[in-house]
Amino acid sequence: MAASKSETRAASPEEFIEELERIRTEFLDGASPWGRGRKRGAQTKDEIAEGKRRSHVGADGNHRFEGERYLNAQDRAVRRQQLRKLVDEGGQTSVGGPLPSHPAMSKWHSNEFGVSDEEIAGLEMEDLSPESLVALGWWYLLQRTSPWAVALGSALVGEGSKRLPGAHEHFTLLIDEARAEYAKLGIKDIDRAVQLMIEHAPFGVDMEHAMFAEEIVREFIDTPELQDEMRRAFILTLARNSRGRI
Amino acid sequence: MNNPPFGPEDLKEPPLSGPDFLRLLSAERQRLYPDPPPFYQELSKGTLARELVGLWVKNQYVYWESDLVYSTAAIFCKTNEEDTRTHILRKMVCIEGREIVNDLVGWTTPAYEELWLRLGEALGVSRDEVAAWDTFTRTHFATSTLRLLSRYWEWTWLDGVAGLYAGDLLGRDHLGAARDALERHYGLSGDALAFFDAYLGDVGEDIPWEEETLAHWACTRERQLTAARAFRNRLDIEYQMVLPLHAAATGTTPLQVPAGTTPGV
Repeated sequence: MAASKSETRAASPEEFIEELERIRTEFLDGASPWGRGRKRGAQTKDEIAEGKRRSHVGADGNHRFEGERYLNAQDRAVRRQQLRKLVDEGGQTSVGGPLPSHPAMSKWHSNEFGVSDEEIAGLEMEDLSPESLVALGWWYLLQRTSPWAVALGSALVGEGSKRLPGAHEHFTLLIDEARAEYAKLGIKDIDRAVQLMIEHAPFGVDMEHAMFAEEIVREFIDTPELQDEMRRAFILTLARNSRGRI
Repeated sequence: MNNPPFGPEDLKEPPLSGPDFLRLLSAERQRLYPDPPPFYQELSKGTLARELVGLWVKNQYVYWESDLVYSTAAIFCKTNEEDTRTHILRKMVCIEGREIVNDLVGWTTPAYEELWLRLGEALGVSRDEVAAWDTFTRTHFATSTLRLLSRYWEWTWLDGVAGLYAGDLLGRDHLGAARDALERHYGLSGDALAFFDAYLGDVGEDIPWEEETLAHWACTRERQLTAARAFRNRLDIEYQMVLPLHAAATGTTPLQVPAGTTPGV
């Protein structure tokens, strides 16, 4: 007779993390997320600007999902750790620190490619593409309705991937190549243009952000039921992030 | 909460100007609650027994530890306007403890809930006593309503800002007076009053941006109507929250939530 749900043993933290990484590898057809070098060839200034315009349509939703994770966290220490992350991403300037929000840094990047703040403001008021609408809608609902540790653990797919082998080298190369490419394209303030890329890279404090999801999964996803929910959230987040394949 | 939607008749008038809208809110407060809650009036006069002041600390702890955190963050999640959201983010840091960003800007002030516990200790109320306290039901219903309105569809983000504004105006006035009373009548000083120094400083910084936000974004008749209702809702909630303390002070024993269901310290 099959074991009932309550008799099912939870995997150990090590086993479970290994299983999730195995799922990721299978989803990527055996490749590491960072083993492919640069994803794109050199782009023209207009192509980059066009990509940035698309990214601004419907505006940035970082506060929606990171805020939901914070709001739902039941462990006080974790909640405050998430708030510290919100400050990094929502703007260190909110407390007198040096860096603005990630959405503001994304605008810096766009400005350097000729997309003005006025144009961005217009794009932010436009409707999301249908694909973005449903992908983001699912993502926010996941953060709002999942057990709190699953919501925070779902960052293992994106941010958490930066703790894997090859990520540091990937981002180093990405930023170096962007600097060289932007210089060739005549970008005036290259530091400003690559600032968000640097913020997303797993260096220094951002490596702590990358480790955060794994720590949550190890410590709090400790029952078969929670592991089932985490597994499902992980797989669906991989699908969501694969864009054209959903 | 259950009001029918505003119709063409309700919406046919043009919106008030920003300054006039703020004056309307001020008039609403004066109309509904011209005086502080009875408990704070007694506290200001120094006529409350010390045990009742301790009871206040025990009963309000969960608001500082959980309800204010949750309701403020719920508004943050709804706010797609970056300037306002940035202000709310700072407010969340002040509530949870400025020390959270110590590595970034060197701040050291702990969370409101920690400072509130220290106030309790100065009054002779231990952390264990606070943890063991089962909140009065009216207080619990009031804070639950604040969580509901802030979190779900009842309030828009701008309604939420109107709620923050009402809460901060009352906090500035009532807790400012409470601080003076605790110093003058109950002999507290220095670290024991650190909660008030932190809180009053923070709301003093928040009220101006809340006014600017409301004056700018409440730019249609409907937004003004719903924000004014949210403002009144928050006034009601804040007064209901402390009402059972007055009942306790006048000899009635209010009901409490079932034992062990209030989040602990």
